[in-house]
Amino acid sequence: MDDRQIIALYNERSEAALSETAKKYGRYCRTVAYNILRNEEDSEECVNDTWLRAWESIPPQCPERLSAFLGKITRNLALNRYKHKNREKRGGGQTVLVLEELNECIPGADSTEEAANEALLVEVLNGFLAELPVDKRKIFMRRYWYLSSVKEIAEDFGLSESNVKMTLLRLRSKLKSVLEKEGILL
Amino acid sequence: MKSEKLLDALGKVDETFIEEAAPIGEALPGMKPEKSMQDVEKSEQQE
Repeated sequence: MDDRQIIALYNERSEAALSETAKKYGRYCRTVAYNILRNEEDSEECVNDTWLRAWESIPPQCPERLSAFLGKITRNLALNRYKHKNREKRGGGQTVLVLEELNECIPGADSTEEAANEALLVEVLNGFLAELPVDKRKIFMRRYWYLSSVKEIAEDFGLSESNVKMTLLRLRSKLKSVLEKEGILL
Repeated sequence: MKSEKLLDALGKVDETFIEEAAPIGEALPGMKPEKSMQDVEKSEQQE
């Protein structure tokens, strides 16, 4: 089923939207989640949460690229789950709570300013990616968007792991220069 | 954390880049995996 038909099912509030989405994009979203979480059970829960989020978002949203739309939701959910689990590991939550409480004392950008900073950062990242040759861009995205391992990238691109590491090193260095040039301080 | 901000911002980049880089083994329906080794070598030489 093509994406327009799937989106039409969401708009009609037909539950077939969920089964069709899972059939077409289940494997893709599981990969996105698993690359981050490296745990089958957590990944499966993330993917199920993705379908729920999609159900709640469409309509009013009407994604142009359903795959990327779903991939982004899965990535966000998986990263949040990963951060939450790591916080739990670090001192049963209290350390993090104390750090968060102390964080309130530190002057910094307010939420509007932070949102503007992030929007600028995303714009610069888009410019950086657009300037890269396609193959380099794919390698960069595979590592830093999909969080694939160097080994997996090397296998998929028919390269040695050292070649992938070198390519990533150069790309990070290039990104650093671009961010400095644009005056972006994180 | 700085790297966390960068990772989060990367999550919001143009969707064409996301789709383009979908893992080959999990190729999206209708998308044909490309042989990229030669492309990589070619652009390495160009640099």
